[in-house]
Amino acid sequence: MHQMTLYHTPTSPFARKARIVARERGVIDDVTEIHAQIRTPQNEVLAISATGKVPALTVDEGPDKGLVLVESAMICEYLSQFGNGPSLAGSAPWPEKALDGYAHAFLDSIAWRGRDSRRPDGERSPSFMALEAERQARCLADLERRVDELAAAEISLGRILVAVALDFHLLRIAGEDWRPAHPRLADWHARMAARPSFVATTPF
Amino acid sequence: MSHIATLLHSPTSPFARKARIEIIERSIEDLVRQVAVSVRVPENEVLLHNPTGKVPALIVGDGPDKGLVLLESSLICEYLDTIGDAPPFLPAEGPARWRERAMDAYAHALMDAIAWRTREFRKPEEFQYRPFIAYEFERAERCFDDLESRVDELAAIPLTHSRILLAICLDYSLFRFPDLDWRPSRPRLAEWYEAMAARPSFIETAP
Repeated sequence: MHQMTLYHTPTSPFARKARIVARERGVIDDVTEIHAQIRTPQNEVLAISATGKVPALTVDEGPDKGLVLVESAMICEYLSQFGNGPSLAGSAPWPEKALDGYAHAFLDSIAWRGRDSRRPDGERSPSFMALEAERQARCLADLERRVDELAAAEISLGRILVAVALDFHLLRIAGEDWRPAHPRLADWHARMAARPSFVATTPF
Repeated sequence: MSHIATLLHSPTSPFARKARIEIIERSIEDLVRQVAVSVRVPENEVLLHNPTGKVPALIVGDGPDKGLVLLESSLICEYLDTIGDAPPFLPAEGPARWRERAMDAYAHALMDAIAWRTREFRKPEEFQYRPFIAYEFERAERCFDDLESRVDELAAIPLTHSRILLAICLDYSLFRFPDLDWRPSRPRLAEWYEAMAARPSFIETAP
């Protein structure tokens, strides 16, 4: 069996995707999860990758022993090969990858804005935050229009990331609840967020 | 031959450059049209295809994937691997595939760190956040040291997605931060980089 170690932080949405994938695929028992002290000299990731970033995955047994993966898309592709939970491949490979890439770009934007908004007063750039807010508003409107497409499969890598991004928006962009203006997307998100894999990885 | 896809890019985007270099290295310029767009303006052509408005974006206009809109350079490069007659850069399976994936992801994380720092400098000066800039600078320095110790591993494989992106990282750092030349203290990495940067595909796509 493939024994692996997954380095994460409880609030990283990209790490959360990997933690959800491990649970949905039923491989979580083979994965040791370590809450890394990033942004401190004790950061455990630095021992395995000079990037120091989470999520990071090390493969500790089997043919890929010694492999160190960073970047959530790669980690999730790797993890989703194993286990016997439902497939996360979606209906067709390239449209599924396209959804995953789109969700990644959407989440990047939320993460940038979230990071800026937590800086001290006077060190937040209003023009950058406005640009990202507009980008997110466009994405939310687009996703609301495409809910039938999202709902066409129960779960997949791209759908997990869209739901994680929507959840992270609620957490980080305080005072801007997107749900009232996007009711169909809100229903879909609520169903995803109720899955045990999402509940078990709720940020704290 | 008619184009089967269009790559929307901006001339200074390092992630878009990865796709542009792959197009040249695979000799598929006749199959993938390249269009430079202005991002951060309302006329941004990417917005006609995707609400994020980000480059690079690949629009597939013909064939079985007609209508596909791909974002994220690693996915775009994986798709470009399927176009043309050259063998794919990414091994189809086995440990070699995952070793390449691991190095590509590492390069991506480093590129993000350099790009974030650049992005911070685009803000008005009073909004540039010094602790963040210092933190990302240290991350890049750590990676350059690590890569210097792994040059043999880099040189063992001639050209793949990860090698292209690592060379772009090194080049982009020199382009954006000319006063912080990483080369003097990493001579072996500098030598590997110079050979990559001398390829016609790198010269043609220089920012």
